Amino acid sequence: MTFIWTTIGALLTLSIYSFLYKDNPFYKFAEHLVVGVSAGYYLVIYYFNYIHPNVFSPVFLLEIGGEPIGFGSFLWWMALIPGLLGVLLYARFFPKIAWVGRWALGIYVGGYAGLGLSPVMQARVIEQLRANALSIAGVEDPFAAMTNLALAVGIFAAMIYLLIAKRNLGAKNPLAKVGVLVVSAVVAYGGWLVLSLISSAGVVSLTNILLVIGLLGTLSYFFFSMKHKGILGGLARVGIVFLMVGFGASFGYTVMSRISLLIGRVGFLIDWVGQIRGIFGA
Amino acid sequence: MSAAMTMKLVHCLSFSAVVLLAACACAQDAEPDTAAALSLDTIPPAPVTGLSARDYIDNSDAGDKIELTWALSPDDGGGTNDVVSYQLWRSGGVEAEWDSLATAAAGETRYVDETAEPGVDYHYGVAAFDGTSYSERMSFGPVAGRANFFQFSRMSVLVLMLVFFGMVLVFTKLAERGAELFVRRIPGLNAIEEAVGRATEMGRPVLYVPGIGEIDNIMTIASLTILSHVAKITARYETPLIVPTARAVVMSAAEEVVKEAHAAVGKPDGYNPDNIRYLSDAQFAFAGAVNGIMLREKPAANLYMGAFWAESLLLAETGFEAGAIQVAGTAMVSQLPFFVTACDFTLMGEELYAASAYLSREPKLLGGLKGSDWMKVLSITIMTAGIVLYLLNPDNAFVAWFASQ
Repeated sequence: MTFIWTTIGALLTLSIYSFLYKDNPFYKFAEHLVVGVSAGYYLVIYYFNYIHPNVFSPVFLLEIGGEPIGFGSFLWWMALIPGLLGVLLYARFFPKIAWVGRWALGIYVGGYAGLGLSPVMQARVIEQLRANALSIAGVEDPFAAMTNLALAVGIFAAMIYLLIAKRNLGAKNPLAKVGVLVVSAVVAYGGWLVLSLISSAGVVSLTNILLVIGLLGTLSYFFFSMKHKGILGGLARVGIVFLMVGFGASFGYTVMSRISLLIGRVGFLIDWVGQIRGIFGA
Repeated sequence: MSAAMTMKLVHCLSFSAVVLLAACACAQDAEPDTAAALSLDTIPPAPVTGLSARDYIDNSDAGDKIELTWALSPDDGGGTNDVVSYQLWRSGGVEAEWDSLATAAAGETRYVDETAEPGVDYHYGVAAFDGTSYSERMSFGPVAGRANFFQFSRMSVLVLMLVFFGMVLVFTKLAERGAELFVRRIPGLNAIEEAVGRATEMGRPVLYVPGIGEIDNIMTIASLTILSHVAKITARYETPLIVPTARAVVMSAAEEVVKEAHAAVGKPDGYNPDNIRYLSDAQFAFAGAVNGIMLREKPAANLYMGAFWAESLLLAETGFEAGAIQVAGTAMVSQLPFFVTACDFTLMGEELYAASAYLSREPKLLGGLKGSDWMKVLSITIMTAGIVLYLLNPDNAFVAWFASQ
């Protein structure tokens, strides 16, 4: 019996992979099968995971998670009211009262936004501000810290200047290309060398400085109230460079994980072939 | 027994007595305190005084903390000075049994019980311990932990939210009064119009995927605003617009949006409800079905706007293979790389929201966009101030406060 299911799984896998050649009846069959099965599957999942434990069981069976609740109690009402709001969503099938469904949507969206606001502000704003406001020095020695800051400002200013200069000279100007490459390399190497000489935490400090520069540049890129010209334009270009470096790293990482999924699937097919060979004694 | 043997026995006993006395004397010389302590072990230390327990309110807890305080035993740091620790007990009531809770070191006068059930009455007991015996147990109760109404450690969140809301409200009011609020044109928007124009020229449909997020997802809401803009263009050009959805509620919202767009440009008859489709809630079933649409109905422009997860690359790659012009927009950071790689243009992160505000000129959206813009300026200012203050003095009070947030 296991072999039959494995065979069905393997044939469906091959049907899906046949899409790599071109659209064909096997792929169409597998596609329609998975869409249809998932519709039925999710109907059952939604009922037993959400509707039954959260609405049907407390309202009609008077129990939550096996614990009895009183008819008309606070918990009973807390199950009934959301249930009724959910029913209101179906008002859209009756054009005359379709507007009633917006109440449920309004409460749903408003409640979700209100509950999510504080954690989002804490996790995505305060945390990032805190992490970036305090880490640039990397060293406790005030003199070394000030030197690092001066260097950071210098690197930042040089990057903006070079980007503006490149734009003015034209991106295709060989002088601009070579100049940007050479000066960037010198600045980066010099910065790393100086920081390493200043303190043992120099490399850490360089990382932190890059982090803050990246954040400032990226924030500038997403500033919509002014045109990206002049200093803001330079900052935004620095930001987009950081964004693209980040995207490249993320892309590579995900491709690796997708390859591992592919390996898993190919391994499944090889096992299946092995089972066939075992059955037919090949 | 002979006299000689009797004498030997007396000598032995005398010698033993002398050795024992000498040993005792040596022991007394070497460790006089131990001997003194041993002599005091039978006397328990004096009990603590002033035991008190209260709901812990200093750190905005959830009602699971109760703070105990007491005055030191007179034998801790004074008197016989032999208290080595304090034993703490907790009970669920006067008649209930005492459970050992914790041990506090000598010299401690405070302990915070972090294992209390919120709202449950407890009794606490404390006794001094000298290594051998306990003092009389002093008790206090009942006391219960209560969740704090206001979490002071999140004050910064409240302040920043109030500032943000204030800015949003001000800009919204300005927009409502007709003030000209500048929002820079986003390059990806031009790309959307070019893509729809190309589909019209080729006589092929436009595919608009509003992501697989629910209707409560802000990206889905922004996507529906952009859908309205796209639907108006396609309705004007009489270009078929296919909108596959993964959520039933999103499908009904998309139906409303596209229908209204057709009515707005004076072509209500051009609306085709069969083109707004619910496919599947299952992520990859949805992706497979959309891929099928791309290959069979051959849309010339694919627009992906909204919340996407792992299906993003499957969709964008198939669209690329099919030769369609593709424009994507999402705030899902993890999926942006795939859209950037496989699509012709991408609205990245907040550009998606900015696009919906730019297109609709809706005062609330404009207010939100301008408010978040100035919030970024405020963030950069705070960050810069933090960096400078930290560099000047790492022990700065502002830095310490900031680090605690």
